[in-house]
Amino acid sequence: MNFRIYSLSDNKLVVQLSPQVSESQIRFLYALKSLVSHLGHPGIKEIMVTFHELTLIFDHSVASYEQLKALMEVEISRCDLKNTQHNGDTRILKLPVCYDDEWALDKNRMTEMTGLPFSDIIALHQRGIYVVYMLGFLPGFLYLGGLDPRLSCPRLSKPRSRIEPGSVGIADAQTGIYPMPSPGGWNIIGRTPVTIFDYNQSDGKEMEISSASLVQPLDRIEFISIDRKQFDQFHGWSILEYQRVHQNMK
Amino acid sequence: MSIRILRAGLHTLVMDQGRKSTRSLGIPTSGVIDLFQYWWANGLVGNHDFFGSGPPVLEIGSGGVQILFNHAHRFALTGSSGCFLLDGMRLSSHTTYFARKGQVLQIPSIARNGTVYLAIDGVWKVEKVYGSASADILSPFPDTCGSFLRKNKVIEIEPSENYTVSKRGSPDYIEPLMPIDQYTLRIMAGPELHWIDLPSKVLWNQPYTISRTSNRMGFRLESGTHPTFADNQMISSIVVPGTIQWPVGGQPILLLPNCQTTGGYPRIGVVIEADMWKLAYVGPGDRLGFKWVTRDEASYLRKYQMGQFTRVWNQTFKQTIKHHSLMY
Repeated sequence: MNFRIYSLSDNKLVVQLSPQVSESQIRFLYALKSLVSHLGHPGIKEIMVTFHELTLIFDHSVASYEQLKALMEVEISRCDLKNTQHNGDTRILKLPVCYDDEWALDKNRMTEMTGLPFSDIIALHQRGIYVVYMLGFLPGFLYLGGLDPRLSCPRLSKPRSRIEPGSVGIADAQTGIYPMPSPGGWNIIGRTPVTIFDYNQSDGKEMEISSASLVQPLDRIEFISIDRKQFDQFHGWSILEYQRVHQNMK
Repeated sequence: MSIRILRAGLHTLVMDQGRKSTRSLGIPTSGVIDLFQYWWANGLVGNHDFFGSGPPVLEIGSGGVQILFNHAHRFALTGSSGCFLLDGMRLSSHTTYFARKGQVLQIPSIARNGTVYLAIDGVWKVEKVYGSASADILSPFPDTCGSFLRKNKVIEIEPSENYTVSKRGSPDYIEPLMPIDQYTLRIMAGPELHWIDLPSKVLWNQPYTISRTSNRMGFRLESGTHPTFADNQMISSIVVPGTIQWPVGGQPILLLPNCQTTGGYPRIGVVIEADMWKLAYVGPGDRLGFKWVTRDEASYLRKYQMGQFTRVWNQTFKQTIKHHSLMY
């Protein structure tokens, strides 16, 4: 694995791996993030992982770019690639999705662009187990990797002005879930009734901020097809509550 | 113990230094654009510690604002110039004033595309999300964290006990420098700069106009330049306030504090943090120039500006400024 380090503005240091979406890379980056977080370096204010980059936001008055670059080079050499790989104990979260016409706004476009009947699209979409690569773009938006390449479909040329929260979409080779109402250009094929992000989970006090996202990076997501009745039944539940019910149904 | 918004104007928001460490959740940092003027406004009302997100202020981006003080308060205005009146009496910016109970602060107009910061002493009882009161109108956050201030909104403010106001006035040079024609923003190379042909010629020697479709997430820029891209397979990556994205075949976008946390357009350049404050005083129709600098120059400029600012602060105010950091 090759890397380079560059600065994105003078107080942001970026470790960049090869420009590809790969599970081994993202695992390495999150392992590196946890390694560096545990150092408790007073100059490092924030660490953010994206598909192929890890960014340190640092306080200039405490640490310089050169110092942190040297530190990162050491930490990267310490971060054992083998230990960061998938060892089977990651959490798999079931996410109920209603693919009814009411929510599948881009059903016709998807069948046209992929050349597949919609039932096959649903089947292929459900067959995958998706890795949560990162949150970004919108508060709580999940970037999922692992979409069947046959479902790849370009973004709408004219984005919608409003997409309902819970909408499940496809853009190019990615599938994602809108956690909140937002404008957007993804092809919408269904909607989940459960919430994946808790916007109220912050009372202004210092807190472990990651707990607001009910889904964490590197979790795995499996889509479960539900009908309209179940959609109403589970509406407003959190994804974690749904896991318990799903366990009992089996 | 409160203020009431009698007239809200078009752009009045509660702001502080923004959300720290929420980028991993996809939550924008938000926060004021001109940290120097934000700090100074607070200094004038006796705040000197900027730990975490710092004390809230009002960011006023238009005229037509009227605020009723329901209690005696100390307040100060910084940022752009404008017409400021307290019960009809004309006020200066960068000055501490006392409002008596029942007095009305009127701001009929401010400089075009300007930003005024209004600091009021005391503890603001406003909603906070992840420790910050900064508004992010696109996120589903409660109350003032998620919306512009509207008419009749009441903000509870508990006045502070200690009244230690500097007798010294603000030095003239603390006011933001205004350009005659255009601001020049110093920028560093972005990670995808090498994708375009003649990279050093792009964003150089040519003004860029800020388009109408601009907001607190970013400015869309217009120019006659259409660079050729060597690559267009961009993986969504981190973007930060100040990033200049250039969509293949499109025109550049300069991101502001309420920008998204990840983006899929080539990152051509980044405005250095020492120049970010200028973005508080420009808007649609204004022109921007750019100048390439190195990381060393950017670090030097940051250190120089922070050093100068801290020195002026400590000469003017009794209490030493604490925990202020030029970070966006």
